[in-house]
Amino acid sequence: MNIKTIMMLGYMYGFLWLRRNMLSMIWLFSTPFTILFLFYVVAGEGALITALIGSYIMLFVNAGVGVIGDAVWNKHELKFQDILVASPVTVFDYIAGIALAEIFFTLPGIVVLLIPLILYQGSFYWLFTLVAVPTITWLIVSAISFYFSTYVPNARNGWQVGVLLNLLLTILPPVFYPIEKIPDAIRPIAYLVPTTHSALLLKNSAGIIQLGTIDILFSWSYLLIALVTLTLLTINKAQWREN
Amino acid sequence: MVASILKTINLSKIYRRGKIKALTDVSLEFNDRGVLTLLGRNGAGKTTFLRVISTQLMPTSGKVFVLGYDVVKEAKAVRNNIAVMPQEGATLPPLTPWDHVYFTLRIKGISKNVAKEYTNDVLEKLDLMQYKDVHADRLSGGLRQRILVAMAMAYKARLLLLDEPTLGLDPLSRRKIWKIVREYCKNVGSVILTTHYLDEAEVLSDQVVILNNGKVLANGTVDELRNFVKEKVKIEVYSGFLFEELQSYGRLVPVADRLRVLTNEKTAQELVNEAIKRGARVQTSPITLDDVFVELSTEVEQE
Repeated sequence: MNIKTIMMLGYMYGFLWLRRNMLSMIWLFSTPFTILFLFYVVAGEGALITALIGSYIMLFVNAGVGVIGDAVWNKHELKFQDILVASPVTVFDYIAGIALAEIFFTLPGIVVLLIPLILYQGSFYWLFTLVAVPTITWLIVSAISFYFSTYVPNARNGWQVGVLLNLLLTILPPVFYPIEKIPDAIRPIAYLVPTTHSALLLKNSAGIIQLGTIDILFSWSYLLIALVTLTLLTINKAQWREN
Repeated sequence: MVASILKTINLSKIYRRGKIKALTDVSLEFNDRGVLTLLGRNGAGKTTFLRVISTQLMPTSGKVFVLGYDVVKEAKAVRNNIAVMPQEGATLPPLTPWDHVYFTLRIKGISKNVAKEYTNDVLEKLDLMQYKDVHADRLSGGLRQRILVAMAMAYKARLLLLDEPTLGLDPLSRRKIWKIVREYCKNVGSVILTTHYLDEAEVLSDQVVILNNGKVLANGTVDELRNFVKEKVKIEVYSGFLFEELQSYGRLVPVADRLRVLTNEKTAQELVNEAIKRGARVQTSPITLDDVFVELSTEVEQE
């Protein structure tokens, strides 16, 4: 792992782009803020904290899913990935750099949501989960996104897969709604999705739901194992050097 | 002993999707510092070859050594010593030429001060300094192409791989790139490039490889390749002669609105004298790579 390479990639692709083209920021947090608004209008103030948590997770998922669009664009349109494959840059550094770039785009949205979330309660565990859970989620989604990006044949398909991934990770699983709403028969499927555990941990930490110690440990373990497994899978199986 | 710059032994590449045979038993060596040019028609396998030797693409079979390193087993060592300019690359719209070059160097692990020095140096050489702070989307296609060349050259790799570096450039810009490529060879390292422009290959190359349908059609210096055409001179005949008359002077090749006569020096002189007598318009020139390429490609098509 080369920290400088990761930072430089993140700076060039994220910060520098954003500084020169602020418009790019809007799309990444438009969806979470729209859903937050809808929840507030439809469900009222009572559902606000649930909606805030859901939107907060969605922002990080969006940052992770953003990797797929940019990686496909880099590979097929700019050919920048070709330049880096044939250089000392490793696949891990590249994924981390692009993921970092994506987080720059979502930073303003994150700050806006963090203020009410921090004000909601000030316990150490709450603040810890507010940082750790979305960070792990973002890294998991970034790894999955990069994996798919290397198999997607063109930029348009990349954006389409991104939309699908977003749907599968934030709208369908119980990120914005309670897991109890899912019928028992298909609930195990929901538990397979990492963002289900992200939402459970944050909601539990906020005091909206009560999880047992075993459930909490299970969700943390699931996220960490998913992070390690999916990162290793991506590094080894993604088409960095093509076959 | 100095390791060769490039050595391929029976290199083959078959794309699984579509089962396309892109390269078949390509064996060649490039030993001395200089420019190796890959020539060929569209789909001849030039880009595939470049992608395999630059560790972007796994070979299906055969061996490839770049600077003495095996591209499969020692990819890391290869990657530390090469720089690539891919075909039809593009620039990031809001970034400047300086950003592109400087940050690519930093991403590749070059320190801040060295990256600044290399960036200024390459932008100067490629006449990009005056545009160094202009966003790429406000620059012409030719200037953007030069940024891509600069990104590759700035790294000062032992082996520079350029895939169609002058594509879309005007004649003056092309000549500028040729000059810089030659300078690169003199001062930094070797260059392997692909091109469609035969004049470019003729001017730049120390060694030329002509690929056709993934196979090596010819390999040698420009002079060696000229010997593939047995005649030494070509005469473009624009007017004043009938087809039948010209047949006695040499081999005839119809080219657009004129006839090309391939022949030896003595007969060429006779034809020129006759043309002067008749007031006919003719033009004499030595055999070029263009003729070699047409000759070889035609032979393959006839087979």
